[in-house]
Amino acid sequence: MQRVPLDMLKPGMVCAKAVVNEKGMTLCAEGTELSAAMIERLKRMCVSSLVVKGTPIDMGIPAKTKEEVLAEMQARFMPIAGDPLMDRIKDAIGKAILSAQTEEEESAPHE
Amino acid sequence: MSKDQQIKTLTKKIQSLPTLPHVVDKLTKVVESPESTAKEVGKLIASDQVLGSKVLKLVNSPFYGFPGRISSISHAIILLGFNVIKGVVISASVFDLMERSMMGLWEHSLGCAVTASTIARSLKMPDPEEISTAALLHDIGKVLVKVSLSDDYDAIISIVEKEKLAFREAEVRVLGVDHADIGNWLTNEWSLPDKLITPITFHHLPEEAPRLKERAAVVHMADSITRAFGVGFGGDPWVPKISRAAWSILDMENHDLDALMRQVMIDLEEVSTFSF
Repeated sequence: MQRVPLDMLKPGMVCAKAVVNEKGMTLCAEGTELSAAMIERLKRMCVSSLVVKGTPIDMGIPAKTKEEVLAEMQARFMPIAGDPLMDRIKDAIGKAILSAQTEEEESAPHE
Repeated sequence: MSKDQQIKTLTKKIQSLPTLPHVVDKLTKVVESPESTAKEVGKLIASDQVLGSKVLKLVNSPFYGFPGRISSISHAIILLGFNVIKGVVISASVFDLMERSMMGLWEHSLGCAVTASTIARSLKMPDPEEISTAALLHDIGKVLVKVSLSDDYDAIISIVEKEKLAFREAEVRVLGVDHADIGNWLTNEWSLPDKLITPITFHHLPEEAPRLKERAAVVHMADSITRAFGVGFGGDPWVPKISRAAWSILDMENHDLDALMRQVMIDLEEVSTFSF
């Protein structure tokens, strides 16, 4: 998932988080594949950015593998290793890291 | 020496406070007057163009719940309230200072605001925007240590590096107090509302807060979880232990921790591209 400024949106990108206006009306639903006309319309409605699936814009930072991200996260818990509560939090974060990476892989064909 | 005396001795050493834009002083006066309107306060903030545009950018960040949809400062005041706006104005004012003080402290603060918002919203707490704003400013005391007590700051950093100690423990050894105590003094000097001061002051020991314990507990948890996700830098690379008391104050046993961490990760990722 990536938040992309409106002027960098390209047709074919897929909306990953619905855009709702202040009255609660959905301007762009989650899962919508963007067309040029739709991007134009979002511009007119003063939307400044959109969260899209995958990472279509290269930010110049090489992506880490999920194993690297996981190992780095676990290392930060080192001084408090063995604390039951903190171990549970570490495990929950570990699961989140693994599940999110899978979602990215699933959305790969869209890129 | 008591904590109060320690702080008194310390603040005597402080030559000058980080300067806040003129607008902040005026803002305090205007906000205190019951007759002031959102329009007036909005106009006052917008009169400083640089500050105004930063404030607008911040209130539009996803953790306030209206991403990209607040078009004017007076609109932001109506949606978020004066307490939040005052915190946001201070954050926007010290942003440069924060960036120069400690690499990664701004990202850590922003991450903390996001995590606090996610926790507060998932626990259905009232005023998640105020809790987020307190989280955004929770480490403001570190900025003062760096800017106004720079020799002590260098001593703290050297202890952290040599002894692999947490920044806060090194602070207590060098200064006798930590950045939360200093943050308390500073935010009182700046006349921030108590709803922001208390969670900032008690973000390490939420159970000791005389009131607003739940809010302090959220900021406490958010600090630790943001560090666990590796967002920004708060002075040392370690995850601080979450207090059992904070865990029970928020009744976390009855919440789905896995789902909460998944949501925090999504929300942190969303804000990772934020810049002024």
